[in-house]
Amino acid sequence: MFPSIPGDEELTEEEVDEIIRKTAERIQQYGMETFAILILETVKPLVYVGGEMSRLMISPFLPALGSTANELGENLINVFEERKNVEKLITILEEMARGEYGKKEEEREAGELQEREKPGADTASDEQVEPKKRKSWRDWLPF
Amino acid sequence: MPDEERKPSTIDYMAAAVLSYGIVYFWIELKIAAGTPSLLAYPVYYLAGLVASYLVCRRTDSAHLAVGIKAALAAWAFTAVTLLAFVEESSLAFFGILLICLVLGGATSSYLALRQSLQPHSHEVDSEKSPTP
Repeated sequence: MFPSIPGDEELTEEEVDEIIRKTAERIQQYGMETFAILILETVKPLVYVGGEMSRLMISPFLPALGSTANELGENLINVFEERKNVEKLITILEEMARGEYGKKEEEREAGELQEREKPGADTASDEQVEPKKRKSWRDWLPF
Repeated sequence: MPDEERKPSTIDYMAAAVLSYGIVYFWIELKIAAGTPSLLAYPVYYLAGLVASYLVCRRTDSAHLAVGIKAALAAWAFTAVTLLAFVEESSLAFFGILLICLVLGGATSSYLALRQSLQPHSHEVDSEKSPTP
């Protein structure tokens, strides 16, 4: 009857995990894991208040930035106003900082790839995946 | 119990406060005796906050920033009370600058302590070397 408003729909567990993972990867891309952990651990007790404040202060202006930004903003507010999601993000960032994040998945994927390549060794692709270039605030420094 | 989260005790905060006060007091005595330049006081106060808070931050597993700031505030309170009692002509501006320098030192130390604890396997090596009492 009424069109759905972004942020009104309940996010599934997979969608929440995906948002947390993407956020962690974006933080890692800029090399800010340690700083993010420091700040998140400090503000963790106030995330609910922060979420409600952003609903009041930021949400009304999000539609002006377009539907994508509106949806993204609403989803981020929904996800990170819950303390358990912030704790998940901190855990992922800690794993990333220690270099442990995604190791198990990579090993599993590598194993699967080897299994697939066994029958036709000639068909193995020569393509090499280029490592993602890390952006950093240090790029702005002149020295 | 290895799973129990470590947190600094009140004694740790007091120890940090005394250490910080020691550095600040040593500097003040040095200034009176040798007439060292006043501008050097800021880095010394900053270092006093940094060293004391860093040692406290190393004893926690979470909320490093809060612990660093708390240690810096404890150091400031102890230094302010003691200097008011022992040193004449302590101005309000001096205590303001001291507070800013100590808090900045505390924030920096929390970052450094967290970065060190996130080094791969550093935590295990630390716990093997110095088991907590």
